[in-house]
Amino acid sequence: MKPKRYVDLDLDFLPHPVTKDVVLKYDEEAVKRSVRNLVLTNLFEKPFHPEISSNVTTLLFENFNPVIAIRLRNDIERIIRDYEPRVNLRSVNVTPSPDRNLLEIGILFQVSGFNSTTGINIPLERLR
Amino acid sequence: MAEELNKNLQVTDLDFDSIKESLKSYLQGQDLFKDYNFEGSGLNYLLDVLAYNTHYQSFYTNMVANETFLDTAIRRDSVVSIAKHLGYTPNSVRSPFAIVNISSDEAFTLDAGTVFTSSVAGESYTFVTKENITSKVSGDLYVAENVSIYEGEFSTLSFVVNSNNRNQRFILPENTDTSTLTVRVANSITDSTGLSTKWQLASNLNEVKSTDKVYHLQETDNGRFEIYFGDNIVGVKPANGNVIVCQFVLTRNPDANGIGSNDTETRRSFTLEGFDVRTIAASAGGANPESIRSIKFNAPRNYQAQDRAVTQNDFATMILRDFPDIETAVVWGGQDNDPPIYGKVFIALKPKTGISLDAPTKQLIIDSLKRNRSIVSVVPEILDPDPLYLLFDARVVFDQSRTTQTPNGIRSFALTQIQNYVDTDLEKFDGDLYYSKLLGLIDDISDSVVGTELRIRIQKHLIPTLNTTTNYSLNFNNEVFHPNDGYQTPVVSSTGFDYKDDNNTVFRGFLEDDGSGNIRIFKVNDLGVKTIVYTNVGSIDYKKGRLSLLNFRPLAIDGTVIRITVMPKNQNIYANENQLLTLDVTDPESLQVVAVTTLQEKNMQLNNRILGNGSIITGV
Repeated sequence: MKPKRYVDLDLDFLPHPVTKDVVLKYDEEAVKRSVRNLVLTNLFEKPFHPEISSNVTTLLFENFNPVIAIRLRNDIERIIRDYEPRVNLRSVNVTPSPDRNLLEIGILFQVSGFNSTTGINIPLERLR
Repeated sequence: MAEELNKNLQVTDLDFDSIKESLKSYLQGQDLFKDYNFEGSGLNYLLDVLAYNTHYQSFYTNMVANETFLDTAIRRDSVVSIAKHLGYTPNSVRSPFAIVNISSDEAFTLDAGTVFTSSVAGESYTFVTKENITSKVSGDLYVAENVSIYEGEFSTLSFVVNSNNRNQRFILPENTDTSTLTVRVANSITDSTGLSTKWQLASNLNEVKSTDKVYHLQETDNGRFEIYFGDNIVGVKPANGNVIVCQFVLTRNPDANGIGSNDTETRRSFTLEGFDVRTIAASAGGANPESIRSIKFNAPRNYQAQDRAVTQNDFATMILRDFPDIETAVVWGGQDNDPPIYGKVFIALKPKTGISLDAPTKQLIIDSLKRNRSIVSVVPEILDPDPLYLLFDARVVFDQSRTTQTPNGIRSFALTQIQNYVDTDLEKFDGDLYYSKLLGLIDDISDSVVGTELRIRIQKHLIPTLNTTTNYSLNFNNEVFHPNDGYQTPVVSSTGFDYKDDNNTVFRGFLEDDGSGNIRIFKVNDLGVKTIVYTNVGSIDYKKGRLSLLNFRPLAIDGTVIRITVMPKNQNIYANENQLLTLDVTDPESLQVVAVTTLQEKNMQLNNRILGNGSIITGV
């Protein structure tokens, strides 16, 4: 079997159905999780490193308009560019879904060492 | 090999980033996880939690360890607790107390807590007695002599002993002066038997028997004081239902020292209606609760002294512990005195307010030392500090382009800096002046200061007996500037005094030296012409810094002292034994500072060169 390039823990900590060990994430899946973690990290969540945050949830409390969409996109692009060197970012799309009170964040990227373009969708929704 | 190293987790780093780096470095030694180095990875978030937790724990452990040792403890309750292990109880707040004579035409008895009032600068103070006072007949009057009255409020607090309550504590109120505390124990609320007996503060456990009525005192964790009792083995244990009656003075103003110093027949400092209250000793002894710094200093020394005054340090430790209004103490044996006086120990004390102690306080200290503490054959003697006054003449040069300050602003900073240096580093025994340190402090007042020129002179105050021929000796304790025998510029100067010449004509005279070790008196006429009147009224030992005046008989002086100033050879000034380096704030010459800009300085130097004047510029 080809050796795995990236190996990470799954922060959901779900047990493997057979081995009962903690499930691991590999290669593109591991990188996708990393991108998702970075985007969802708020200011001061990382101890002593407030700069490692996208702070997108703060913007959820603003009235949505095109400017907010641009700020969100810039914040997401910045954090991925600064803290996820394994990713070649293709695009970040912010799509409002006013009827469902949420924003759809679509991030397309190519993981270095892999040819295909992959992506994740993160629905951002206010919880309160 | 590198893999081997990575398997060793570094545990010496305690800050978050170092801990996290250590964990990452540790993970390099395995193949299972690879993403720990990427900030977004799940493993990295897990490392954050681990590193934060470790950092938190190590910080906490560090703080706990710090609070365990006297040198590093910061919290007062930690310091007090460690001091308790050394048998040291910190001083509580102390009420200033005055000693008065009370007289009346009729016989009288004053109850404990009788209030005396006093007013200073529009502020009123109350002083109270802490015991019942009964008058005695003296001539036509009834008097109570040498009565101690304490600033504050006399208070009584009772506790009913409840043996069923294991957590019962007897805590005294805030601002209790524990030196005024009396403890009595009555049988019960309805039976006052036992109230006439004062329980004693246990000072030495070895001397306490099971039947001794003693109490113990300790500071609690909130700064208040608590009394507690023995266990019927070491001291009597009060029984269930007993009533513990504590009486004490609650201090309102521990800084109210010095009240009564202006007491006169017509204007009494303390008043009690219907009585004449004469001040014998002005209020003294008031002090705030012992500071953490003081506890750290005194506790180990108190342990070394073991409540006995044998070595020099024992005396100093004991006095500083028992008399909190003493700021600094120095002790030396008679054998080290000049001249040696065997069988004596000399103690020089400086109170927190003023320069010297009054006679009753000195006697109180002597009595306290003699009582079971000092060696029988050694007689303690208290000396007043011997002030050696400093005169500063400073010239601060600063670059005006690097500051918004005016010359006056820089001058003001320099004045404050010198004053602070004197207050903190000097004005205590063994407080020597180091020239370079002071210069450095002045240079540091602003980045714009480019240099400082500083000249220091030293001065003694001679209190002459007017109209009486007397010999005087002044010890400057520092070598006096004397480049060669016959040096023509006098290095000794003085303020004026009236003196008689051989024709019995009174003139205003001044002292100076003749460059050969003789002190002479000169006068100056209205035209500024100087005439030597007496060529030899004393001598100066330049090497030892000692000046003596023989058969000196001034008739009148300005103020109360003749100020005699000398130029020291070295700019480091040292104080020995009971000498204190200080500033005479009443003397405008004591602190002279000018601040000039670099431009002014250059112009002045240029003018100087043109004039060919090689002398040092001392002012603008």
